[in-house]
Amino acid sequence: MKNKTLYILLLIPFVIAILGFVNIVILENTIAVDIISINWDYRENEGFKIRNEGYLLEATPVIDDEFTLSEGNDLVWSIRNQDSSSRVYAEVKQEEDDYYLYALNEGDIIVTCSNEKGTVSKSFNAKIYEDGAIIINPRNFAPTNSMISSSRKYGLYNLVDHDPNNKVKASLELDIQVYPEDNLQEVEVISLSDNISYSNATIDFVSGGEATISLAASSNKFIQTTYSFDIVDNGVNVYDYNDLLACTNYSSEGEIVCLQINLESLNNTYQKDDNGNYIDSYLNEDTRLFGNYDFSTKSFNFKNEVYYFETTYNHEYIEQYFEDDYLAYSQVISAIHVQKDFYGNGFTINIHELAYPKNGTIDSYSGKLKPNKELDMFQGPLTFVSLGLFEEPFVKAYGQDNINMYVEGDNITIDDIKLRNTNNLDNLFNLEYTGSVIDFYGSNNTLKNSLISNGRTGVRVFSSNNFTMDNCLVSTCREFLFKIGNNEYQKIDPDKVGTVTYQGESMSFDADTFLNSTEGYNADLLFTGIFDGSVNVTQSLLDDVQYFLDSEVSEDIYTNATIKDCYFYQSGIFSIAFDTYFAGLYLYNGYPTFVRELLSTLMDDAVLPDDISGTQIPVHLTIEGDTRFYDYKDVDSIDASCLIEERLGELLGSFGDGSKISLENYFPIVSLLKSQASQNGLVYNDEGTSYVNSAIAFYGGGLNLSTVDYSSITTEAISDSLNVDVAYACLTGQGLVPSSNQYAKHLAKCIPIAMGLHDFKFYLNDDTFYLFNETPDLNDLIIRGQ
Amino acid sequence: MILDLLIKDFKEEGSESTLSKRVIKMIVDTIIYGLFIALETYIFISLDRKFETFSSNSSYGFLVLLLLLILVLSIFGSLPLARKALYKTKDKLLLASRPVLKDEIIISKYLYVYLNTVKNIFIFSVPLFIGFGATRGMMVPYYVFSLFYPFLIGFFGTGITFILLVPYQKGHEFLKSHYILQIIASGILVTGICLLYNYVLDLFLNLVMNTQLDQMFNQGFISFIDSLSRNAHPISSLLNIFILSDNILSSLCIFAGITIVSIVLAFVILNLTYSLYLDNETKKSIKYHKQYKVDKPLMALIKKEFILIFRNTNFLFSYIALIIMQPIFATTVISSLNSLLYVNLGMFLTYFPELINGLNLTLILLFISVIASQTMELIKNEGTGFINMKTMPISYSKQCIIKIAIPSTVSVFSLLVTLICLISLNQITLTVFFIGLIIGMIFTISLNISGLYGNINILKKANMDTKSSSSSLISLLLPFSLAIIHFVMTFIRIPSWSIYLIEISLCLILFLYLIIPFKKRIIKGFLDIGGSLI
Repeated sequence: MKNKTLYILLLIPFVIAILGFVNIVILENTIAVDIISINWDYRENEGFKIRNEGYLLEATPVIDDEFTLSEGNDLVWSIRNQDSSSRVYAEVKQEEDDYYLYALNEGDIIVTCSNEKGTVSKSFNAKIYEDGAIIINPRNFAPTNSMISSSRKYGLYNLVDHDPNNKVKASLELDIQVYPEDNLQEVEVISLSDNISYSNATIDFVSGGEATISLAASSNKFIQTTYSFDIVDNGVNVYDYNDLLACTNYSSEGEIVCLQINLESLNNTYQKDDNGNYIDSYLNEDTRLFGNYDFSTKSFNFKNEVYYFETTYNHEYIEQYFEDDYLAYSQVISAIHVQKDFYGNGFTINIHELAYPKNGTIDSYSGKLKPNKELDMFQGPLTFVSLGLFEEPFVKAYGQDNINMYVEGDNITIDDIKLRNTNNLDNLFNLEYTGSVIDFYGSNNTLKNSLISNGRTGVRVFSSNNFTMDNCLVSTCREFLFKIGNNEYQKIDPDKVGTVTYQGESMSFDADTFLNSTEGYNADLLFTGIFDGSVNVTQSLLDDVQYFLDSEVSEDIYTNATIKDCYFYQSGIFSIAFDTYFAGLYLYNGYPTFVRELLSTLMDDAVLPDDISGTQIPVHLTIEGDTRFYDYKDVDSIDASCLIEERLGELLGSFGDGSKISLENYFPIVSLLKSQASQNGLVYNDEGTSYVNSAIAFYGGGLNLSTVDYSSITTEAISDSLNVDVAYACLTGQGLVPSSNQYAKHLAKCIPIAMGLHDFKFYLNDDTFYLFNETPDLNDLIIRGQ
Repeated sequence: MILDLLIKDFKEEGSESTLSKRVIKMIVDTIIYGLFIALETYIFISLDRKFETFSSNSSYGFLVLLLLLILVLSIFGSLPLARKALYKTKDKLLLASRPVLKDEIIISKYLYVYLNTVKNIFIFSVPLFIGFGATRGMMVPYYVFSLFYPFLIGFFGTGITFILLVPYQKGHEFLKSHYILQIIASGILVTGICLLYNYVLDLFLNLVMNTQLDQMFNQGFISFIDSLSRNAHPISSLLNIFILSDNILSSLCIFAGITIVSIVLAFVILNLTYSLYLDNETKKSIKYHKQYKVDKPLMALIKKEFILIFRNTNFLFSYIALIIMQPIFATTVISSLNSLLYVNLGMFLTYFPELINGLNLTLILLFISVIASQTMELIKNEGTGFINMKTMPISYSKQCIIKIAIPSTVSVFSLLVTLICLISLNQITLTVFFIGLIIGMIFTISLNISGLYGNINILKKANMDTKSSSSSLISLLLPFSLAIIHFVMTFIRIPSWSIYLIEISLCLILFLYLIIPFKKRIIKGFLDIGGSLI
């Protein structure tokens, strides 16, 4: 037996590993993967002489080999006039697999190459000429062919050695090409705006404003061109990651940023050697790395470069739990801290190397890619409130998440930027820990002409009065594409008087007595009775109870926001969400008693919440213009597990009869939504799958006074609201997805006690199912932005 | 006659006396082999998928590499078997006076080794073939070939075994007479095994977690695999014929040629070496020992015990090797298990942190039991010297105390090193360190005492070939009992100090149960055992 024992001991780790591995069910929410970008040799401006023969248009798609492309990713070409005339200057014709540009009449056009779906696009300006033309391109700035706004913005200043205290005025070197080329000709300046000077094909910036230079060929003054651009007063040109840091995280008041380069991930920046290691050689001249990468140690220095700040979201529970040491647990990480205007010029900032859990592993319980605690920086949202040990809670509701771009301040404009937190991926669950893409905090801020994608939440707007999002595409996020709310809230009024009617008897209390008392009839007694089944739950009883937990909020302090001409595409849950704080009895005083008893058996010195919540200050959101929701999804794929993290199922699921408990067994929000949507004819059935267009969601639990006005939308068709009473379903057991585990029903009753009793509210598509199976076309945004 | 000789050799392999013990051994062996095969197949299929993404030729090369590895391991694994079969003194004496032809003996030896080689290759290579074929939709002939493959390649393997047997036997004889070199050789072997285990475990955990495997698959490694698939004859030639159906004639010629040469060489070597073995008197080299100084009886006994342990070739590669390997193996197993459990059961371990302590303690005790079980034949190891034990003017109990004390001290020292390694790597807490040391010490001594009692009981019945079952029972029962107590008490939230106190108390009770009748049992046992153990 002796050696057999040794062999068995040595085999044990293998067996445990196999058992652990085979029990893992990796969660997948597969999404369409498109090409990353388009490569070509065209500059911002090109010239084409009128001729009979067509010009072959050439471009190659940049593909991520790891994924299978979805349909609709073949490259197609199109043109449109720069002016609004209907004259035909050129045509694009497809001959077999090639596209040809036929120059027909003199004029200026925009040539666009995109995938068939229209989700990835690149353009250049083309001058169609007969006798000659002057084509001007910037030489010392990377070309941008993906702008949505009309003109490129250059900052007045450059930094010297990445030092924000050492600025010099910038200059623009021109690559001037005169056609026909065999007539090498000099050019002369015809006119020049006051804010620039010119010599030897270089424009020196003098001051901000629109800059214009008109040039003519020396030998033929009829060959002329005008080159216009904007110089941003006090703007600083950013050419790499360290320039960006200097203007943002390292600057106490921030600089106005004019981005002149893509800042991308390793995979999209550097070439690789035969062994697959990255080498210091760029893939493209218009792209640099987001981060400082040490090739020898294969590591970054983000810890010392990111911006840390104390969360602005409600973190009272954290303060109560940790007391003087709470700061360490209420820190949010932001890759970029913006305090002034930011002009993206169509360039991309991709923080994949910071945000994506590269060192993560699949969590055996949740089946999701979870970051490594030591090696990955983004660890998911902070805690709003939790039950159990802070580090390993049974249940946790989320607070503020880590961020790509944190915009803090007033009157800030973010224009024409492509922000993403990760590279392309095909499983939305892998975005669970990647943070918010852009987060606004301040008044009168604007986000326009931008593409926001690949995060847990796309655009987060909290405590931001008069916020405007205009002509943007927000797509591919794990949770919500756009989340809005306020950090501020009105606490429970302890003197508020209300009535509770039970079994025909009406009793009057003030809030403090009803919620805190342990004698006579009180909330603790009531919820304990609900839990053990001795109290009959009715909607009116729940309404009576919730009245004490709600607060009144004056309309004077509502905040306002506007979404105009925006597209929403491919969310994990819903496109737009109106946040509100959970505000159940547990958050007020840690009652009912059975929860306290449960905690004391599992923990020593359990910390209970003490009046940490209330009614969130509402938001009034206006949705107008050509705003569209391309957010159809299989309703069964909606996974609410990113709203609440629960591991109760892990702890208790092995008791009872041993079967696993899932979120739907005790928080059946998705199944209730599906049921309601079906009853109202709002579910689109296609080949056995039920689809809904998940447009707008209002958090429930706590009182949510926010409102939405979508009456000015020109094309979208949105249903009336659907109210989903999760609390009633949980407390009565009706509507729960059945589980053979006896603890599931008990867990279900605990949820409303913490969350609150108000309904969740949803807006879906109407029964015309407008935009089903369609994808947003970037060209729409480009045309609007021009 | 050849068949009879074969049956004789196979019968001598088995050592269990009773049917029930043979059945238990068979079941345990089956479970262990089954687990190993499952593990091997899983690793193969997972790595195969990885190779497949580079090129289908690479995945084929990977199969060839594994088959080559199995062949090499079976060749080296058969060497001790072949040596034992050929150079058996008992055999020589038994067959010398019987009408058995030398050729028949040689053929039976060859077949004995061949069948063992085939068995080993069969167990480990057929699952690989099945895994490879199943993922590629191979047809029935492929699977038939996979069943015959061990028999075909077995000839080559056996031939190489016998070719290597000559230097192996020479080396064995050389090491036997040079003790220091024995120690060095065993040290190198032990270190190699530990490193290999560490590497394989790391690789496996990476596979499962799927995080760092890509670093392995660089172009250089892939090129090596590709060239191996073409040149690893006779495996490559055999697979060329039956899988790739490529260059069939030339592959057949190569395979046949290599096989025939290896068979012929094997028989020639067998013939020569067996003849030499039969003809040569083994002259025992009479070493003139240095004059030993006369020691006090206690010191002499202590020295004798050290000699019995450390100068015993059998112990070198079992007990002593385990003493050295225990810290490494225990650290590797416990640290990897801790990582796995924190990943898979993080919640439980956060709320019930004592669970991991209980598990670590159990594993430490199981490792102790493995080591201590190596020294459970303390009396039997005396051999002819037992008569001295019975007749020398030192009390039996005193002799037995020393007999237990020495291996216990060595084992406890190894345990201490193990615990120091674990705590320095933050795999165990300080509490577990001290509790592990205390319980480990008590457990080690108890096991050795129990082993001694068992040994005496067996020898009383003059049944030399049986192993003590009661000590085996204690070696497993106590660790698992403590584990159950620990886990149950953790769940019902008994304070940890109480749990440890109970565990130590139980160990002490066991120790007292064994130690109190010690003198009486030893005296009675010695009186009942015969004078010689041969």
